[in-house]
Amino acid sequence: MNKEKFMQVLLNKAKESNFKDSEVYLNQSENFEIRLYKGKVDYYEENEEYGIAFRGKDKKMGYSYTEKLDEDIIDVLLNNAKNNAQIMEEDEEEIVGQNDNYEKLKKLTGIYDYNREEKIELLKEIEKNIYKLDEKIKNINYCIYADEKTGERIINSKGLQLNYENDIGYIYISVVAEDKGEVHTAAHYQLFRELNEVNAVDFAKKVVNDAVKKFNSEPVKSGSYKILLKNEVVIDLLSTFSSTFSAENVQKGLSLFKDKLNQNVANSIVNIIDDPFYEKGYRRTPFDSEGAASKYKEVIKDGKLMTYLHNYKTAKKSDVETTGNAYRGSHKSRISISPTNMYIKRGNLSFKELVEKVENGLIIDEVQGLHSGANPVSGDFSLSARGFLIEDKEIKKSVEQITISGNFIQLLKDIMLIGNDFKMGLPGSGHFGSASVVVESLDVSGL
Amino acid sequence: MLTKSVIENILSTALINGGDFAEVFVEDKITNSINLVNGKIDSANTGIDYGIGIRVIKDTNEIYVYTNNDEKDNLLKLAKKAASMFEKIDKDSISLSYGDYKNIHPVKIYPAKVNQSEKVILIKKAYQAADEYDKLITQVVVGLSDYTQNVQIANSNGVFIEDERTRVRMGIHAIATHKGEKQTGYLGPGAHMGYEYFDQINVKNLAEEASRMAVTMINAGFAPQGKMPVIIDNKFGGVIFHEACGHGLEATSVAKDNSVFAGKMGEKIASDIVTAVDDGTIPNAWGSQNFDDEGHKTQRNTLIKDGILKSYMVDFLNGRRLNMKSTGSGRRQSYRYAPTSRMTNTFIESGSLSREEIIRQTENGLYAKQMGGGSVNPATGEFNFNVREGYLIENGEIKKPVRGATLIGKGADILKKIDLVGNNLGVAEGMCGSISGNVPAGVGQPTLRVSELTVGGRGENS
Repeated sequence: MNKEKFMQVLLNKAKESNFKDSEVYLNQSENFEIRLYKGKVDYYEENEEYGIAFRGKDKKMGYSYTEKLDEDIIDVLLNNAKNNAQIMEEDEEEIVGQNDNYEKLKKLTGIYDYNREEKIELLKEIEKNIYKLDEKIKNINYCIYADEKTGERIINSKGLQLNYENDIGYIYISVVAEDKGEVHTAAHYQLFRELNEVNAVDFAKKVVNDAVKKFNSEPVKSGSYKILLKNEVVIDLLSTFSSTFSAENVQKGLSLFKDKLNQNVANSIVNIIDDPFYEKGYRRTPFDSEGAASKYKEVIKDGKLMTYLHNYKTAKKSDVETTGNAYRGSHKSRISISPTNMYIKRGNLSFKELVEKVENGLIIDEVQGLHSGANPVSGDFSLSARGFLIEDKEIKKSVEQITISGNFIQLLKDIMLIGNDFKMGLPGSGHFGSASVVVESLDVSGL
Repeated sequence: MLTKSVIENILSTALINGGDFAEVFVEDKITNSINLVNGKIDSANTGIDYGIGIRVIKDTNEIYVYTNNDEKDNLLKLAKKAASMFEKIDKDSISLSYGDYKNIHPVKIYPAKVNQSEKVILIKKAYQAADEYDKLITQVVVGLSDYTQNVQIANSNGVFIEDERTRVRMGIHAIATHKGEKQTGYLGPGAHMGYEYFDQINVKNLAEEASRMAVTMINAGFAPQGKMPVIIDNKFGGVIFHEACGHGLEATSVAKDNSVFAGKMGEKIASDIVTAVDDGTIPNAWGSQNFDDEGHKTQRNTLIKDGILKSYMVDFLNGRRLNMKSTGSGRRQSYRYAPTSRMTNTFIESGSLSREEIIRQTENGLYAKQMGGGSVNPATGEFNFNVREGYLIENGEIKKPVRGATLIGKGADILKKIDLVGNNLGVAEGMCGSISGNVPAGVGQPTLRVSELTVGGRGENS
């Protein structure tokens, strides 16, 4: 059965089988990916995929999903959702009709106008430049071009009908540099909507430079250091701990921001924005996964926590309006909460000025182990890290095999300076951005 | 699922332009998950994953396409599209015959035969035990998930198998709160079997164990910083070998010279007391399978024998690159991923010492009783992983608990620094993420000691 027909039949049959309200959600995508190895495309992928999720309210909400669109699956879906609704105990989920205030977003697409040869050529050019730039580059272990067109469609029994499509392209390259038996890697990525946003020379320079500057690294002495966190590290931390802003986690006692609304939770120079309309954000969308209108919001304003991120369910519980942050990773996931495009507002100091202001301390430009060494519930983190030593306002030797430890909640309060080198990271459930920041102190373990 | 003739047709079409190997992977999977929060069932979802992946290889170049749409015309169109990347030559048609099949992972109680309400009873049993353990426990989150995955795997060498993989797993998170701080304890038992698994384990004890961990850690001080001997306990402690060395022994990174262990076959890479194995054949173990996801029978592979590198873990394509045979290690999360070499159940073999003797022989150091997860950069061997439950060792005795410790180092070094190996091999369950997605992986070891590791904590310098 075709997707549209399957969705309509499912919605109609749900009514017949006594679901009071119901919703059918489709996500679909087209992906293209190539990987280059020593001048040749050695991996090529091109796909079309889809999945359909059903949510129906009997007394409680029941969920089910399928990737198989045979007619006889419809009854299976309804039956599974019924069985699941019956065991639900905690559930205030509602199915809501159309809002009338969706933002009209200009469609930002273009990557699908380029043919595959152009994409392959661009990747080959970057690869060639990388090997040319420095003979210490021994290998490129990942050389990936990928793009994706994703679409969401939501229809429900209250007359809601929504569609949205998003395009994204990215290049990800990781290089291995070797000199006298010492091996280092570095990776760089760039997101784009148009191929001409990528400069093959700059891209190559960046990743090569990041790798070769790591030679002659060593640990520093253990202790407390003033720390300059590079923008990408701040993005990693913000993304890992962003679940702290979720009203769902607050209500479940899984967030340290519980009872902290309208209080100072960060230094007064910190402003955190969630902007679903941000043009450089790849979670740009006029509506959330429940069909509520997306909203621009200041989550932390001058250090003060202004709002949690809500969906319909948590908003009802807290007696506020939804902030349009309902999120569904795919047709397989239940409705949860996620930031859209969330970023720390930039300051006005250049990276060089930040280094000078630190005077003595450490630059941390890479951390590893976020999925295990950082605990979003406790806020604690202890991460494998590397960077550079700053002595007398100057960048000195390269540092590796150390860990940095601290607590995210404390870190927000310890942010003393924010730079102007703002960038956005790689999008996941949310898309995060930040400039580099200086924090008062973190514990470092090394020698 | 697809008929044999449709699969044969896809394979021949995929080779029409001169690929030298084609493969079809069909997946039809029923998944189910239920979660409890605050003592109440908070979410439940049941789904059908269904898709077909087609792979065409010429020399060492690989094309992968997948779809959810199983109509014959669509599949042939896709096969043709995949083939179109290669230049045209003529090829004979392909005929398949079923491989011999012996199921070594029997399932007694299929998840689909268990009512959701019976699963709720299991979840609540865990919840109650964890919740009642201590007043400091303020939140318990219990998840129960199961699936039955049916696959067809066929390739142009005539391989054709059908297999079924059923797995069940429970995740128990206990959270202790004290003076505005939170600490978590976690256990995630699972197996390649049906719901009879829960008759074999003691859910109540495991749930109490998760709470015990959280309560111990909320009362713990911060771990010290610096280099010191570290004793890593058995079972999930094996994540150290998995991260620090296992990934570097996967042909995925070896074939393109991106591993510190590339070119080291037959050389001594670990201390003499280290023998390490990857075994996908252990009946009903979490990381086991009858066949890998390329239709190759899983094997028991000795990776390191008495410190000497004996074998990598090899998939079909990287085997070509390395001129090595498959070791039954080709795995993938789903039809959305081309397979590559991955671990199954990976562990260090037992030595002779008891846990107590190892502790007694250690004057000062860190005892890592429960490990969290970790990650590695195979090209440099740099790894990191976190200690979920740690203790200081002073004068050969376990002293106060410490939290927030991360262990970092380089895989090639740590293997040589293992200086004591215990006699209590145990294997635990984890999920392993890599380029072919997330796959169930067993990790294991006996209690062992590493003579020196960098411990990243927040306490006094040691």
